[in-house]
Amino acid sequence: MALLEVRGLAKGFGGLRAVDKVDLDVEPGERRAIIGPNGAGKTTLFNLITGYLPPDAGSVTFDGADVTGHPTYAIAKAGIGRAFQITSIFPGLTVFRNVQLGRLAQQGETARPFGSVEDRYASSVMEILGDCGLGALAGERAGNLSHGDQRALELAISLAMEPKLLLLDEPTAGMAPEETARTMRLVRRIADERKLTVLFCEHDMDVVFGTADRILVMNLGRPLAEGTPEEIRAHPDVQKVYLGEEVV
Amino acid sequence: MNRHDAARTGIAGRLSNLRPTGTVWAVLALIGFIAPLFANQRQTYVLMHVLVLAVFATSFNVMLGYTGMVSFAHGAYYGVGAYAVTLLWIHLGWPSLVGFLLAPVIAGAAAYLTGLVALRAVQLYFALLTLALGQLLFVVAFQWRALTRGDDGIHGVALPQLLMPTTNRYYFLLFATAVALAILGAVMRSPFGATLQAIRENGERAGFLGIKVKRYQLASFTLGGAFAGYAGAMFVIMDRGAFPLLMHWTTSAEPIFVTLIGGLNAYIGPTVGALIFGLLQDWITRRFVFWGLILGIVLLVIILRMPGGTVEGVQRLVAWIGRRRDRAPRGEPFDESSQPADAAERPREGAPAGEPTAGGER
Repeated sequence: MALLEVRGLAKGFGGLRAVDKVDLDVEPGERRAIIGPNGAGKTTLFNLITGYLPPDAGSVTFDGADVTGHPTYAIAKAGIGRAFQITSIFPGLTVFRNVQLGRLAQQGETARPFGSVEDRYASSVMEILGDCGLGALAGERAGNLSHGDQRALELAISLAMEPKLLLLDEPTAGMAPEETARTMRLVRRIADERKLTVLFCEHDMDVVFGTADRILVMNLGRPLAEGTPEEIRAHPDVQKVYLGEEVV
Repeated sequence: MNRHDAARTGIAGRLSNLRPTGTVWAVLALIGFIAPLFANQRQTYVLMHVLVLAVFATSFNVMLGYTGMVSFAHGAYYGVGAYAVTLLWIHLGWPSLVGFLLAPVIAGAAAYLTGLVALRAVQLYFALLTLALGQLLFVVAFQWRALTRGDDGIHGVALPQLLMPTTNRYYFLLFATAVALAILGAVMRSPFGATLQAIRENGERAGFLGIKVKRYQLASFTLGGAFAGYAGAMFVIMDRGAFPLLMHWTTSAEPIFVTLIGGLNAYIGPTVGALIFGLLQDWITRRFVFWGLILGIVLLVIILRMPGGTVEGVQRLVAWIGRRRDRAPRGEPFDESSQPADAAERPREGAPAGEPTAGGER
């Protein structure tokens, strides 16, 4: 059974069908990419899956449970972690505290009004920071980090939630080529080590073909094609709407 | 076990964590303890006012500094706390100390109910709703003469015999302040306090961590309101009375000033601010006819010249002196990396402080 099952999901903004009857199955352990030109509905699809937007129609089933239209916190608790397209961290707090908050949330301790938070889960937080290459920056104010490090921190916060499925919205947006390569190596390594299922959307074709097991191509809110990287590369429609402009 | 853990265990580590603000708290406590020996009656009243203000402003900073919410209803809960003591005494004959213990519960309930309404809006609209709800409570106190005696206020609340001498009342309030600041300090240092800061920094991200943002904002609002009521009850012990002006929105401006003077990014900030504000207000009002104008100008200068308040101003000064001292004997150029190296290993916000900080520099 698929870990994530999306059936007939739809969302419109005024006259625009941003996401139009999309089906999607993501198997456990899979690394799935969603590609498509700007306005294809990728981010909207993520927003629907994570409960940030209520869908007009369709259903989202995660790990056997219907989570359609559930609030964001419930979906996060169910095990879908998300890293944002626009870096979203807690800028005024330390790097350590950023990730620690993910641990506290995962342990259901965010409401605990007693006991010092200071050293709580220090070892597991430092382990995650180490995995993400941020170990030396634990005491730094998160807002002072470089763009690439902030993206890594974003990932670290999501990992601290111990998600079963990790959604990455353009994980390498705005990164220099070497930063991109480093980030995707990190994603691949962490996904392997933690047996994570990853669903990501991305513009950079090198990243997509180098990381994904399967690819869903979207255009104008509709699924256009789905398959392995080789199949997608060879797909005539895909070449026409998307690859034709960018890769060749 | 990693470097981070190792650095923080052992007695030496604990002591070094306590040093900077721990020392300031100890000095403040000592001053507070011996001050009545040197103060006359009027000065003791000024100090009692400082204590009330410290609790009032710290309760306010739970919302402003930690959760990132501006409320103009805070004075109303202060007043609810004060009226809780006086009304229970005048209508039901309950001892003022019983009222003192119930005041934070009643003010907290008032804050919870009004917070439910105000939190339907966000940011500016939230602030405006708190203003409206606070004024609503003020109007109740002002107009409902049968209950509150309106503008006349209620005076001469009976206190236990032990609390009649001014000095004893001062020590009672000093103890009450210590209790309130210890409780709030512990809560702000807890996982819950960290969660409030996360909401302040990025509510949307907090939501994606599974945190029900509104619920935590309401909890923060209720906690702040409860301790504002506690401060109001402290006021009654000091002044033996309550009147509608306590609930007016202008009263809500006071903790804002005090917090900005002291610094909203440090837990100790509002307490430091209360000390400065209380003493300054007393000094200026006794010397100048247009004291409001003078006080306003002084506050403006402090707030504009020291963003982050006195606490951060002093921290910057200490860091600057430290750098000069490091540089002078060795004749080395100032090396930026040498100073925060130790701090970098400690997971804590900005300030070189052993206390819960409300998030360091922003």
